Amino acid sequence: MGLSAINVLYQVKIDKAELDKLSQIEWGALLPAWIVSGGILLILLADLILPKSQKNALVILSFTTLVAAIVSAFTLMDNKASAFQGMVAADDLSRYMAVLIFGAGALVILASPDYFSRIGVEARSEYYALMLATVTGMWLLTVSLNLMVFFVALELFSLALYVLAGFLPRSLRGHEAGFKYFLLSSFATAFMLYGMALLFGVSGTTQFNGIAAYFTKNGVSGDYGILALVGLGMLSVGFAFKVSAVPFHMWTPDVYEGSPTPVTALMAVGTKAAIIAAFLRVFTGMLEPIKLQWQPIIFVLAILTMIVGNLMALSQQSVKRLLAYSAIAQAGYLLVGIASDNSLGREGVLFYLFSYTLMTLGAFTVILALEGPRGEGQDISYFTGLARHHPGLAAVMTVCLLSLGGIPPTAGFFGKALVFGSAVQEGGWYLALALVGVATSVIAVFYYFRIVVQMYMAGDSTRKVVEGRPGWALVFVLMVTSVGTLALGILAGPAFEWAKQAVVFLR
Amino acid sequence: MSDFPLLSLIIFLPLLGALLLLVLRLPQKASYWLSVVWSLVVFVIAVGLLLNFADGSTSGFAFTEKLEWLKPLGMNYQVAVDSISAWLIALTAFVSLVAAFSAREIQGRHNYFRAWLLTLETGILGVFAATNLLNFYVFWEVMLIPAYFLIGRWGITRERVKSAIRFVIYTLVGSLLMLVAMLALAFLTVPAGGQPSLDLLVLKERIGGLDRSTQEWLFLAFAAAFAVKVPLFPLQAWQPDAYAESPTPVTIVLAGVMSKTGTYGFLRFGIFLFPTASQTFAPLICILALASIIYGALAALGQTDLKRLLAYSSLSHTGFIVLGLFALNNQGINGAVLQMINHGITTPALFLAATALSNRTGTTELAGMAGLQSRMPRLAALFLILSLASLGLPGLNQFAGEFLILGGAWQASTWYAVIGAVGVVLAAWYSIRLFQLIWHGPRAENESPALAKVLDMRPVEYLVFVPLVALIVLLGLAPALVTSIFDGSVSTLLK
Repeated sequence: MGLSAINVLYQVKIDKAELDKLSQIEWGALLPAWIVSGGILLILLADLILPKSQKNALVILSFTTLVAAIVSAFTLMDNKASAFQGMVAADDLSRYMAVLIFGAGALVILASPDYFSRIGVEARSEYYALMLATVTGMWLLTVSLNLMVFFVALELFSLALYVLAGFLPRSLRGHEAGFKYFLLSSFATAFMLYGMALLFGVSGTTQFNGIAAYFTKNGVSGDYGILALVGLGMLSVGFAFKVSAVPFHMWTPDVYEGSPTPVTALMAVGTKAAIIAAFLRVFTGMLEPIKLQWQPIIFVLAILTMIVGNLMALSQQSVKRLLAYSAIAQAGYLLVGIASDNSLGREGVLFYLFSYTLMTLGAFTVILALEGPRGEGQDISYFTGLARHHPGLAAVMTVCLLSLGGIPPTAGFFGKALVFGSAVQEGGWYLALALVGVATSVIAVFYYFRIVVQMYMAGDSTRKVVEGRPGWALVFVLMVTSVGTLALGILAGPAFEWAKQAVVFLR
Repeated sequence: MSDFPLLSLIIFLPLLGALLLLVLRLPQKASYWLSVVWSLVVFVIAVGLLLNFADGSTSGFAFTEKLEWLKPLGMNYQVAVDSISAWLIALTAFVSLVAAFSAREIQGRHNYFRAWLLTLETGILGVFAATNLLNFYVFWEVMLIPAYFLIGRWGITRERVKSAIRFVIYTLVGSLLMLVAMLALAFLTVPAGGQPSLDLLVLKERIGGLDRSTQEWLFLAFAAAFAVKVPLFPLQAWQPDAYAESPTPVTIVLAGVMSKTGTYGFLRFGIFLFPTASQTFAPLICILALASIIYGALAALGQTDLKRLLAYSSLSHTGFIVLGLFALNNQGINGAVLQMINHGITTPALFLAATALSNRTGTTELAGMAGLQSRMPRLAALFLILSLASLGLPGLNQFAGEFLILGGAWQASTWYAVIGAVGVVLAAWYSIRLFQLIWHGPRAENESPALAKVLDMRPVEYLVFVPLVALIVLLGLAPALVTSIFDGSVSTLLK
């Protein structure tokens, strides 16, 4: 009855068969994304309704949305290798990345109100809506099985992140960061799009498995071989930019430094997680047949990134910039696992990603907890004698820095062991990856320990920004990240088993 | 044996004590007594563990425990002891007890200091007990952090942070090389269709399949890490500063036990795991050991600071241990293990005596101490006994070890023994010279006024030194008490 009413009113012809088709759409496959999108709408509406004093409700709403998304990924989401006519995946990797990305987003959102109140900026609902949009885009990137879906997801999270990067209203650095990110990232996205277009041109399809089938049959031979290679190259450039691989990393320190610290944390953690998972789906999944062509590229990227990232971090005085270079270097270690392209490498990369998320989030949250209205708290001199006044913050920072340096029994050590182990297992030239990785890890310890030294041993800092203790939300985030880093190290076995399960679908 | 995880208990009990200290935040005296009593409990349990090997019949590993950690890489938590490790564990517990006892008054955050000291003990105990390479590596790194904080934060002069960082960097480079070698070893020894393993005994069987040059490279990577820890010439640059800068309780643990983790590593993961590669590199390592002996002795002769002199003397003596190990025969290794224990008793005693002296004279500079025997006869007597023990006087502990080492070295090559003997002569020279400088002769001109009202030994100092001296004399007169227990393991190791 209602159907006929609609038909009359809107002059359309919807019959029962059409409606049945609607119910056959696999809504369940993207359930987390629907939930978060619904959350975005709710937040924008809530901003209209809620009085100014209840802004905390926005935080709670966003956090709950993300937690609901994670829960739905495990309970209600379908379990299919591909859905929506092969455009997205709803497999174990999707679930793994849901935990990582939505979890990181949830923690960052929890930490945001404390930060904004301290630096005197009002975090309006747009902030939380954009955060949720970013996180949605990141997750969709990791589940896409089609170049078009991939691109849309990429743009979704990039656009939201451009705005977030320049979010601080009166900060020149902030505006520079947003603009720089927008300009350079658009350029890189254009490269990626052109690469995707070329790959579509040679294979005739935008489906990952279609392209894989083409390459299995033809490789890079034939008339279109050169087009495929150019497409591969341009795609790699785009990927390398997004993951801050050297020499496409120039934007990272400035953008990380100028953005509000919670956004920096999400950029460092979420973007990397999404792009690395995309690396797994695209390079080790779709482009597997031409692996001899892309492995050398990733090899070189990995070595350059590890070396330059670690060396540049040595001379940094701003801890935020130091962590930016550290994030670049960590991307290098992740690329080692991708370059070696064996099962241990893939599983190791996923495990490393988990530990990287926790430890980097922890480190950035500590900086966040110390920051002041005019960008104080970022310089290393603010960390002098931190242990005396804020022993908890110093302890969390130490655990995260030890994990970043790869000291056992933190999770960072096992991540590195797995990734370097995969390089060793591959043998031959790939041994160089492990050696460079180990050598640069020694260099890394220099600059991580420098912060630890400042916190515990140097005299008292006269430049104290933060009085009193951090709020409960911040404490929660700090606890989750530091305890998680240690726990992930102790429970490395079970966590690795989960990563192993998640990678199965890539074959 | 019951399934009770005795070894893990011994290893982690100090860590538990450390956490307790941090949580309870007791005042100075209470935390002091808690740390002493806790260390005493650990020591008693460790001695109980040792007594299990007392009849000398068990020559293999006992008290094995295994927990899977990261299976795909063969990384598991595995601990076990044989008679050699049992001795070293008992030594560690003993030296930590002495260190805790000597740490009466700590300036600045005493709870953290004692907690770090206990954590360091856990790391060292774990190193001696580990039979999985991952476990070994983890505890090796766990040793690093407490040592860094102990030297860098409670060190004596303004150079303490630099010394701490140098110590960390040297150690870390070595241990990261070891990590790569470890991973390579796991993957290169995988049999067809098998799993990588880092279990010591499994690797020992599998390693024969590797070709010779691979074995040699892997051995070198491991040896680099151990050579830094001992330390072995030319990687010793971190040692004099670290020993001199750290407060005495820390120096005792560093010199007495932590250096033995390096020599133990050479024995267990060098000689035992890589028999062919050890044979190839034995001449090189023996030469480096001799260089350590001679260099340490000559440097000691030229020192003007008491603690640095003792640091170089320690370098020289650990050189003897490495020489005995890489003589690669029963006599040499027996001597080396015996010397590990002897050195672990004499060196803490020496550093403690040096501290007792420097507390009274107000300085560690030798220039400020001269002609003190008349005023402190008993301390002088103690110093004399310890100096004689250090230079290897028959009847005191280090003689038996050095004799066995030189005997083993002679079997490997006559020249080793000759140069080693020169080292013994040099040891006599610097030890006696040191004694004369401090205790004999006229008073120093720039003597501290504090010496005017100085006391000879106090009762609490007797409490520390009498057991140490008694052990030194006992082991000197009856070294077979010790060697009989571990020589079975040594011969098994060499097969």
